[in-house]
Formats: sequence, C-alpha cells, structure tokens
Amino acid sequence: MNRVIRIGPVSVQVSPRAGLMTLLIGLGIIFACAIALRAGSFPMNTQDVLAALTGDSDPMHKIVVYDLRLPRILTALGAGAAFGIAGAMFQTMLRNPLASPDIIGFNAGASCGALFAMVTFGGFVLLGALIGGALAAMLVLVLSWQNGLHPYRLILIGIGVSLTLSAFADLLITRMDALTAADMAKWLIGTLNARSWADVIRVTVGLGLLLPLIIWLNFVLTRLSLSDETATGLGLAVSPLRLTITAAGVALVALAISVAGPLPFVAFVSGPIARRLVGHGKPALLAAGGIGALVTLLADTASRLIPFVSLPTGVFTAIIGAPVLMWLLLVQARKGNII
Amino acid sequence: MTATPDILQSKTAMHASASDHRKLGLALSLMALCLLAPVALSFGMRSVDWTQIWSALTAYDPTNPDHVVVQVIRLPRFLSAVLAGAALASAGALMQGMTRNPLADPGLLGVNAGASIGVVICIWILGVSDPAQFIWIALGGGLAASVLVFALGSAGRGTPAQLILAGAAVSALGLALTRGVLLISQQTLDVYRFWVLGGFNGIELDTLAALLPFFAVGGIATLFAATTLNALSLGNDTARNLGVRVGLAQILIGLAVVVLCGATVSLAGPITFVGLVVPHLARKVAGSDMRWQVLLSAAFGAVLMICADLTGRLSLFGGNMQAGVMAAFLGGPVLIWIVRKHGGGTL
Amino acid sequence: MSRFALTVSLFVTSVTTTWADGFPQHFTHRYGTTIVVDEPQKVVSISYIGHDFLLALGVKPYALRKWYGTDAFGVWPWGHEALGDATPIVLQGQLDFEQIAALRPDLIVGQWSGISEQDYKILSRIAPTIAPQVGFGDYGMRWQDMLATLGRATDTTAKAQAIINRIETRFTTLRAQHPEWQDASAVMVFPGQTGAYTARDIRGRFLEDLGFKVPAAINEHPMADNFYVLIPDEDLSAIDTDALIWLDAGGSIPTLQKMPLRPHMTAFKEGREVYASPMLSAALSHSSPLSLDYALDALIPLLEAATDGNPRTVVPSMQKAGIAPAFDG
Repeated sequence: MNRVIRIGPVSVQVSPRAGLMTLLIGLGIIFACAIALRAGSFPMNTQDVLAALTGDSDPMHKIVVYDLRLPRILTALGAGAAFGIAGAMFQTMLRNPLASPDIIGFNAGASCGALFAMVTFGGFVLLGALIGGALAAMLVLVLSWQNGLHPYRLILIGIGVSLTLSAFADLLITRMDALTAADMAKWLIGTLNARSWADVIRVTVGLGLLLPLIIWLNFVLTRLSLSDETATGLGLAVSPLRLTITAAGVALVALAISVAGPLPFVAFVSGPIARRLVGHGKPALLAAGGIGALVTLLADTASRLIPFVSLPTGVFTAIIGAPVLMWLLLVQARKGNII
Repeated sequence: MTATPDILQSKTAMHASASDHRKLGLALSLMALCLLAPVALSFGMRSVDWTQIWSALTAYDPTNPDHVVVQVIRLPRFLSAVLAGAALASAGALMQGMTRNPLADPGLLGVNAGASIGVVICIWILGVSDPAQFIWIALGGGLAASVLVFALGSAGRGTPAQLILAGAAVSALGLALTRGVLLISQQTLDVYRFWVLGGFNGIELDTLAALLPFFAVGGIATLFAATTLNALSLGNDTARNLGVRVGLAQILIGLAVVVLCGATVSLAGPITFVGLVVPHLARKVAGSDMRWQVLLSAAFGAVLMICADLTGRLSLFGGNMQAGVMAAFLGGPVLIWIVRKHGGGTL
Repeated sequence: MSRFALTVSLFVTSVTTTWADGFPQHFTHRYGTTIVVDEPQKVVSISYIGHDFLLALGVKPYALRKWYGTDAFGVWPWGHEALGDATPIVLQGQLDFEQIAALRPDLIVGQWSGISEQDYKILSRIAPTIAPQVGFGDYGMRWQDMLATLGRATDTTAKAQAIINRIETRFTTLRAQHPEWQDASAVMVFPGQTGAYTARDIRGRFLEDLGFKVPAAINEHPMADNFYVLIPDEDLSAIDTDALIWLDAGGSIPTLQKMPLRPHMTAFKEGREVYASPMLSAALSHSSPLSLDYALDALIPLLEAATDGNPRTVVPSMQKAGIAPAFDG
C-alpha cells in the first residue's frame, strides 16, 4: 500500500491513499470557497463575483468580495485548520479521540478570559481570551498530571474544569450592563462576523511559523501513538516530546480563538474524520487541518445562508460536531474500545 | 465451635459500629440543619435580632419590616436551599447507584443543558420573563436531554466515562444552541443570564408551594427506588435473580431523578456538582447500604446547599453570589480530586 | 499687509469650514476621523437610538437598528409623526455587514452602537461612519453632542442647535419652576434584579438636569462602573429617596407588587414613588430629542404629584398600575 520514494540518500514512505485524500480535501476546500464567495446577504451572482475578483467591477461589489467575504472565508479556513491540527495533535498524543482541546476546557477558558478582561479592564478582550485559554490549558494539564498524563483522567478533569469555567463566564456576563453583555455574548460561542485582513494575516503567519514543527510532529506522532514503551524503544524522548506537542497545540488553539472566538467542536471532529479518510495509523495532521478548515467554512457559510436569524458560526459547528461526537461514542461503544 | 461465635461477634460489632456511624451521620446533619436554620434566618444585609426572628415566626406582623425580611425573604430561601440540596444530592446518589458510576451528576448528564435550552426557547419565542413560569418547559427539556444522554451513554459496554462523555456531548450541543439564541435576541440574553446562575434569590413561598408536589413525588419515588438499589448494585442479572424487576426499577429511578432535578431547576435554576459531590461524602459514612447512602445524601445535600447559599451571601462576594455559581466553584475542585483519587484508569 | 490678509483669510476659511453648514465636514471620534463629502441621501443608523435623532432633524433613515419593542420599524410612538409614512429597513441583532453594504449607504451613524475598532474599519470602507466620541464609552455620549454631530453630518446644524436650545431651556425652566427639587434625592430603578442607575447614566443625568441629586450611596458604590448598582432585597435604603421612579421594560408590575420590603420604604408610605410605564421607561432609556419631550410631558406631572409633600396625593401611574399605597379614611 505504501510506496517508498527514493531521492538520493533520502527515502520517504508515502501512502497513495493519504495523498489522494489530501488532494480531495483540498478540492473540497476550493469548492467550498466558491460556494462561500457566492453566499451572503449582498445579492451577487457568479458573474459579479468573478468580475470583482478579476478587476473591472462595481466598487461596492469589490468591497463586499475583498473586505467582507474573502477575509471571512480565509479566516474561517485558517482558524479551522489551526483548530483541526491542534485537535488531532492532542487526540493522537493521548491516544484518545475524546481528548480534544475544546472539550477539555480551553474554549471555556478563553470565554472566561475575554469576559474577565471586559469586566475588570473594560478592554483587552483579545488578550484576555488568549491568556484565559492558555491558563485553562495549563490548569487542566497540571491537574491531570499524576506520574504521567493519563488520557481518561485528562478528559474527565477537563470536563470538570470546563464546567466550572463556564459557570464563571456566566457569572461575569451578569456583571455587565445589558448592552455590553449583548456585545460580549459572542465570546461565549465564537463568531466569524466582521473579520478583517488583519485576522487573515495573523492566522496565516501563525500557521506558517508553526508549519515546519507540525510537519515534523506528523512524522513523530506516528511512532508516539504506539505505546510509550514502543516509542521510547524507537528512540523518541517521550516526555519532552509531549511537552512540545502540548505547547504547539495550545499555541494553535490560542491562535484560532484569537481570530474566531471559542468555536466548539472543530478541534474535536477534524482528527477522527481525517483519520477515517486517510487510513488509520497515521496522525494525519495536515489532513485534519484541511478537514477543520472545510468544516468551519461550511458552518460559516451555512450561518450566512439562513436569512432570517443570524445564528453565529459556533452554533453550526456544534450542530455538525455534537452528532459526530455522539456517533463516535456509539461506534466506539459497540466496538467496546471507548475508554 | 469457639471460632464461630468470635467471628459472629466481631461481625455483629462491625455491623453495629457501621450502623452507629450512619445514625450518627444522620443525627449530626439533622442537628446541623437545626443549627443552620437560625443562622440562615439571621444572616443578611439587614441585621435582625433574635427576638424579632422568633416573633416573626410565631406572631407574624406584616407591618414590621424585620418580620417581612425573615418570613418573606429568608425563610423561603432557607426552605428552597434545603429542598434543592436534598433533591439534587439524592438524585445524584440514585444515579451513581444505578449506573455504578462515581461521576454521575444530573448536571453533568445533560439535565441542566436541556432545561436551559427549553427556558431560552420559552423566553425567546413565548416572551416569558418570570422564572416562576419556566416549570414545565424546564422539566420537559431536562427529560428530553436525560433520555438522550442515557441512550448514548449506555450503548455497548456503557462504561462510566462513556456516560459522562455522552452528557458532555449533549450539554455542549445544548449550550451552543442556547448561546446561539442569546446572540440573536438581546431580550432573551437579559433574562437568561440571571436565571442561569442558579440561586435562591427572590424565591417566593407561592412558587415553593407550587413545586412542593413535584418534590414530594420525587421524594416518594426515591424512597421506593432506593430499596431496589442494593440489589441493582450487584448487577442486573443478580438483581433479577433476587426478584427485583430491573426494568421497572430503572424507570422508577429515572423518573425520580428527572422529577427532582426538573423541580430544582424550575425553582432555582441550573445547579451542578451537588449531585456529584455529596453522595461521595455520604458513601463514606453510609457504607455500602444504598438506602442509607440516599438518605444521608439528602441530609448532607441540604446542609451543603445552605452553606453554599450562606457563603455566597457574605459581603466578601458582594452579598449576592448565587448558590449555583458557588456550587460550581466548590464542586469543580472536588470532581478533580475524585478523579485523581480514583487513578483515572479504573473508571 | 498681504501676509496679514492671508493669515486672516486662512483663519476665516478654517473657522467657517468647521462651524458653517455645508460640506465637506470632518468628524473626530474615538476611532479616527471621518469626512463626509456631500449631503448624504441614504443614511443608515446602526446606533440603537440613532433613528430618533435623525428623525428629529427631519432626516428619514434609509435603514435603522431596532433596539427593542413591538413597533414594526423599531420606532417608538414619540417618533411616529417624524417618521411619517417612511418605511425604513430594519436591522436587528448582530450587524450583518453585507446587508448594510447592499443598502449602499452614504452615511453610517453609530454613536450608540457598541462597534469595535475592527467593525468601524470595515464599515468605513462601505460608507463614511461616525463612531462615538472619545471618553464616553460605548453608550455614554450626551444627547446634545450626538445631535450636534448629526446636524453637521446632514446639513441641519441650525435645526439641531434649535432643538438643543429648546430642550435645554425646557429643563432649565422646569428646574426653576420646581425649587423643591433642588438637591432633593431621586433615583431611577428597574425592578427584578433591582438595579439603580447612577448619575453617570443617561437616566441619572436626566434627573440631575431637573435639579435632583442621585444619592452618593449609589454613585459611590463599588459596582458603579456599570452605570447601575444592584440593590439587595433586604436593604432598600439606598433607593429610599425623595423621589423614586420605577422603570418597567415589560411585565414588572407583579414584581413590584411582590417586593417584600417595598411597603416599608418611606418613599412608599409617603406616596413618593412614580411608576414609569414601559413606554415612558423606553423614552427615558432612549433619551433622544424626540423621546425627551414625551418623557418630560409624561413624567413631570407624576413627579409633581409624588413630591408635593402630601402623601395622600395619588400619583396617577401608580394607581393605574395598581401599586399605589392605600390610605384609610
């Protein structure tokens, strides 16, 4: 199944299936982009969109495409990719599909941080979100550490921390007046409304900087996903590696939340879907990133297509993600290998 | 010949001491309730002296503001806390007993999320803003969510963690939908964000009286259900062999849990962790007899809830930290402690 | 001489550019400067109360942002006359920028809208956007400043100034007519979670413009950053003032009837409470040139009845709501 490619002294194993699937995911993203460019409250047909992209067109069309739709689409892709990769990283490292950053407290931490910053300082909301998310991540990891990082413990403690922080976020939003609370409510669920090129640049640069690390980790994680003994036997320093993966994962989630808010479930669903497509045994980080990007973009486009009520993107990622979680539970349960 | 009486004797002694523990535990908690009652009645922003408290209860004079504070504000608050604490804790004990899962808590298993989405729809679409009117929809939502969680969590092997995860999934979905609606409608946000904290502020005796039948039904169902729990804890097959109708028992327990939790959510909003934490404490004292676990859970739960409420009313917290938030702050760490203690792998 | 003339003429030109009617006009706000080049034909208001201001100036907004209420266009009754038969497009909830772009506005007004800097940058690409003034928070700008700004933006400066003068004079006159209100304590309170508005809030300012003083206990409360402070059930002394106005956003009468300690307040016993119907409460919360007239018309008689020193004088709105104190004999 796997082919070996030799280039001079270097040989690399590639799987045609993985390559094909990655290509398909890429095509899916391009297709989704096309749909997303056409979707929105501003009435534009395909001709108008193409005209706006290529040059000669109504200035307002250009504004809609370049200042409203493109930044939103690209941010969705970037944030989705970051969430997806981070989720796959944690899931593979902990050998459990349920150990996803958004389930174990990082999102709740970001919500809390953002609201806390607003209540206490009247600003610095983004910084608050980043610090809150990172602190929650640290808290969960430290609390779960007991002679090593046991996945089940991490998940359960993560859920506990998530609930407690959620309660705190609820408390904070009552400490604001009604209008400010309405403005801040988006930090409870995540939204891609009003994205700008600054967001696109931020998420692209962040992903770009982390890309070499991600590619290297992709190779490394395959061996790490076997047991700790096997991994060490294969020459991996397990603990420092786990720390690196954790740091990279937290950085990716923080990046994603900084541009899209705490979107639920994207980090969770991307890994399992990617693994099903690409074949088991591979961490498929890049494929997970692609799936995350695709899911987020589709969710965002769905939220823009529904005319009367403007439900935020986070609702749609939850509508996609929660059933996947439930399905996963059922499938795993039948196989008897859930936890 | 001589060995047997010794063994018998020591066993009887053990049994006697265990039984003493339980009775002691029960007695202590009832005593604590009796002691906390006057504390709860005297605690608050307004200082009311003991003679006034006494006369408020015995010779109520509606024109006396001190009497009003005691009977109309503090007394319903105290009674609600007792009921809510007892209800949530016994529901938790029932769930932990039935699912043999030390992490079962009605809040963790979707009841609150279901109630929340129901309430949000109630506010958004029906325009209701008085929490006293959320009763039926809170009950309905909670029931729907619990059923879904139980179905998902019991599929296949149905390990304890699987139930929790099913609860997390349903709760997360409910939460996302709820928060989505909040983003659309400012009016809904404005009513919901205060309800969701869960507390005993502003509860009237009338509302309490209206919900009393639910608590009563739940309580009676709990009593019957608890008697079957000892058998159930040995496993479904063993229980059947012992003559327990397992299906019926499970339905009864489910009913008790949903009614108790639904009534509590209607009364005081969503409160998590009480049902998780208290049964663990009760188990230490009650040993393995499930009936005592449930009974002591109820007693300890009432005491804990009152303490949470009183703590929240300290001026340290601005005098109005809702009990639900207090419970989350206390309960979160306890959950973490429980998970760490159990080693994580054996759940 | 020539240099002097040049300087003078430059000075005169700059002064007239800033103060005179006509375009272009420059607006400095918390997110920068906006230039309105020509009189706008299509004005979109994303400010929750901006439409009231525009209508007062005779400008019918092409689209407006509905805050709350049952009106189809989000315009409360005090604005119906000014609205006439115009049918503005209604925006609600989170802003949909594409929807706004599709309207092709000439001017976007957002002085009471909670827009972030990022929102502003995007909106200003669609059309010139006016954001809140520096230093007043998202929802704290004075109505006089908001009206003056909009007057400049829509070439109705004279009208804006006339309205400001008229309403301010009205307040001053009322203040002079009621010396008993000087330094008397008053507060506006919303029941339920029971919160009292501080002097920094527009509602507190309204009272202070009439001569009242919001009590120090409320203004100096640690939570006062929020424009309101929560009042505990057990201790209503902070709001037991010379004039107490209960606001109602809808459905608060049962809450008021059930408040345990309300009948024990001096304000209750001396008939110094005023119940503000949902419409009056909305008028006070909007605090716009159109709603202020209505609010004063409705509230002044009630305040007079409440503060006349005679407990037996019934405040009509209290009686209508069924929460007036009863007197025997």
